[in-house]
Amino acid sequence: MTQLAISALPSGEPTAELGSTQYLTVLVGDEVFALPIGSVREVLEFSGMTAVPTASPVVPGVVNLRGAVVPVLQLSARFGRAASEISRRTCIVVAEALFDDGVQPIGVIVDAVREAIEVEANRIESRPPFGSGIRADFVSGLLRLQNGFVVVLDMKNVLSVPELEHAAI
Amino acid sequence: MVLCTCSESNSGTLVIFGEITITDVAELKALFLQHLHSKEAVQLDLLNVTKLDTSGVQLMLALRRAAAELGKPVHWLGYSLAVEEVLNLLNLAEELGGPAAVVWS
Amino acid sequence: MDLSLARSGLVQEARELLRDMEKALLEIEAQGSSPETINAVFRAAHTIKGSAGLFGLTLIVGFTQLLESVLDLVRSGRRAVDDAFMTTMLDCADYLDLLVDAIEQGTESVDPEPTLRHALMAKLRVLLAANSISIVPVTPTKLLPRKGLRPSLRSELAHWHISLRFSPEVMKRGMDPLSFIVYLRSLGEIVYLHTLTSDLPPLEKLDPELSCLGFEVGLSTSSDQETLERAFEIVREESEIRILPPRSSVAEYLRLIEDLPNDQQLLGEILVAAGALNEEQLHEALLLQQSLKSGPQRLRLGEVLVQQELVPEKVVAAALSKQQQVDERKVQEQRIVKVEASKLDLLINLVGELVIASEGARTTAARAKSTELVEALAKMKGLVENVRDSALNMRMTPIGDVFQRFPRVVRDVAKELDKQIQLSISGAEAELDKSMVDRLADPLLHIVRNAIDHGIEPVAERIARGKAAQGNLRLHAYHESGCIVVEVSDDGRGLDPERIREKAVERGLVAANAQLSTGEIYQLLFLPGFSTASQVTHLSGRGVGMDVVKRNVEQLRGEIELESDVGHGTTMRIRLPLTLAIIDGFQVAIGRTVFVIPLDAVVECVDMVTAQASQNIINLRGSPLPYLRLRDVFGIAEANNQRESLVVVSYGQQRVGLVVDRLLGDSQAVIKPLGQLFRGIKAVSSSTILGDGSVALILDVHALVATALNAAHMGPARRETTQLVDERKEAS
Repeated sequence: MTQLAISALPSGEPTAELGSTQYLTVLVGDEVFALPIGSVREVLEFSGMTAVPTASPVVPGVVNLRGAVVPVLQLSARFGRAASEISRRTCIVVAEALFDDGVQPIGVIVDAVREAIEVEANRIESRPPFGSGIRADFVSGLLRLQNGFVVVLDMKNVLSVPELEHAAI
Repeated sequence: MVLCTCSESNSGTLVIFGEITITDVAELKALFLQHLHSKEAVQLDLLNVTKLDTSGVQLMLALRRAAAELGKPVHWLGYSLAVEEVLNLLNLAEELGGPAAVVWS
Repeated sequence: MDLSLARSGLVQEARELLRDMEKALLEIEAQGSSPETINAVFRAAHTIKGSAGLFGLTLIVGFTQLLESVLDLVRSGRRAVDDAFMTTMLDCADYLDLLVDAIEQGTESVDPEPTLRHALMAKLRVLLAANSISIVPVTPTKLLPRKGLRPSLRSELAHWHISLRFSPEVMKRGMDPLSFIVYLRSLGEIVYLHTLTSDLPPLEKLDPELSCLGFEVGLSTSSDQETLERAFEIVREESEIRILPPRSSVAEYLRLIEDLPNDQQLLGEILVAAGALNEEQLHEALLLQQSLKSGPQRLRLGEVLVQQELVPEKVVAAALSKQQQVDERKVQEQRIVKVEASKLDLLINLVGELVIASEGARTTAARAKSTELVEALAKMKGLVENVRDSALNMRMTPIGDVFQRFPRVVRDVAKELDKQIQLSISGAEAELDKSMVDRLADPLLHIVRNAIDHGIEPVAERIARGKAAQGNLRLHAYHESGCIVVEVSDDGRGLDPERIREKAVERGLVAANAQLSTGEIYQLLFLPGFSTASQVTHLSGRGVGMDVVKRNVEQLRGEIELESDVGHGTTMRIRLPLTLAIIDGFQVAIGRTVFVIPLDAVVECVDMVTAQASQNIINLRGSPLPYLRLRDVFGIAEANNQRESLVVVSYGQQRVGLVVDRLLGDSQAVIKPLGQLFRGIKAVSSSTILGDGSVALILDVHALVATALNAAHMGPARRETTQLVDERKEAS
């Protein structure tokens, strides 16, 4: 697995309310989403995944992350959409989730990673998104950027382990 | 929390409060050396020593010996029960010399 | 002494001793007392007291001292053992357990149960008073001037002579020589003590952390050699500790002198003054030794004496044989090495990496097509396998470790519920991975408790049913198909499917009109919410249902089965993999995915000639064999051009066939769990990382066998069998 130029990012909650916050923008399908930087451990190029037979399309398989077997989540499936084709831009964003035995890594498959951006606090709004068809509890806010709005994902809910464990097949 | 304090009285006696154990011995040793070289006799008041371990015993023995080499006497102005018990147990009362009458200079 | 450094060792030792004590007590209760068992109890208490004393753990020392006195009464035959007495003893053991817990948690100066302590100590005192034994207070030591030892000691030496030369580092390890002396004093009377200061450095060079004093101690005590030696167990390795019993042979004292050259003169004086030997003997022997120094052979002092007929040879031989015994014991002790669990874990991890790397090397060698390299690596693989097996073996402990607490549990619960239960244990020597042993205890405990609570009937009911008054409870462990199986069986009421069903309907767990097989009804027991809150387990103090038991077992990658006969009894069976770490695997591929089948489940491999989609059974050398085509089961779509293969696997007595695309050969697999998100996946149990870094999935043979059998029974009425033309054996 090779790593992109985006190196491992520091842990911790994004500095809330004061000053600015950082996000990583990614592409799922043809839509852009923003992930709080604090929720991202690292980003890897997608170079294959082992599909677990009879697994749900939401968590279809695992990858080898430096000797550890880590589950991967298909973000498009998590949003209830069709999975997109794997392309050379497909990436795995390694995040963390709270499992029974503590915080463990989990890979999130996205169609592309765009950039890490820093945004002033006043650009974040909490208006509910319209038309994107994503569950309200997956959205923690909206980023107002130059060319429009970007949905900020609530990673805690997106990566809720109890839900993922019982994801329908 | 400071377990051991060592101070000099007006009459030049080193008074020790607290424990003389492995953690205190390094500092005490330095003080004793200083005292030994600057005075003509070593006067120690151990009436308030609450605990004495092997390291402390070694310190006392080494001090006695060092003083003897310099030809200077060591006066113990008093032992606490804790000190007395240890010295009795290890049969060192005679080696170190028992508490003498209080000497005021 | 510094408890912080020695805490965990002390706690572990104490727990082991308490287990020994409890075991002996239960044996006494069941079979009456014998000198061995009484002694065992006494020894355990005595040793705990000793170790606790070294660290000034007054709560334990005070209690065990009293306990020891009472035990001594039994030991010397002055008191008989009865039921009430046994219960008191067991209660004392329990209380000591609490005190040990307190040490572990760092709260050793606080009594966890002051009322209990008070009550127990009162009971013990009553037991003592009944025999009117007064405890003799330890005499205080007298100040002895160093020169001119009392002449009366010149007579024969009736005391122990203990020579102590602590390693200079001893204080750095948290131990104070002074504490040992204080402890010796507690064992009896210190008749003489000489502090040797010859190694004392000058004041400027004095290092506070290094010990430089030696001690020669004369001790009058009724303790035995073992007790005295035990006291110095901790420092034995690096320090020079010599313990000479009373009336040791002169040669031994001489040897002591000889072996401690620094203080020879002084030692000689001390020993002579103590009466160990007289001046003449010492003088003669030393002279002789001097004169012999230049000679061809330097004789030991003991030999010198014999030569001169100063001491009969027998005595010297006795002294030498004693030394030999000591040496032998050291060798014996070295046969067991205590290793920290974390070090073992590290080793296992490294071995795991080694296995993966070795596989990777083999893959590369195969690709490089160098026969020499392939051969060399094959040899290495064999060695790596040996290392792996040895490492894993180190983690294996007998399941008896878990079983051993059950006699006590069964006894207590049976008493509490007023039932009569006979517990039999077999297979305690079956081994499993150490990490699993601890996690097995709770589920087993709960199952046993259930069996006693709900399974075995009260005496009256049993008799009414024509059963023996005493119920039977059996714990049985054995190995099977690469698993360890633990059975808990009772001959009690058995499970009544109707009542279970009713209860489940009551609790809303199942619809009133649902059709359920007996097996499915049994499974209802494992649903959360089945057991009521009122069934709080006395042992753990909180409500534990069978659902938690099942989860615990599943977390160990195990399974739990139930068998029952209404009115006759129940058997609960837990099946666990032997190890969670590394297995021998057989790799197969379906599409692009590599799967690993545990090698010990693989029987043989054959070519698969034709496969018709609706087939569930094939004909293998004349016998029907249910099979599964894995690519259908797994829904793998990628095309496969090669001829498929059939792998025959077994689980228990059953065999099925698994059809795969390609056979890849055997390899070792370091098991990596798939994790919580894949808990529900049936056919795959875990994963492993292959030499090329990709992830392969380890098949769950049991689940696949069950599926294949189901498919075979529920298949179409007409079963066609496929004739196999070609057969090729490829079992490893």
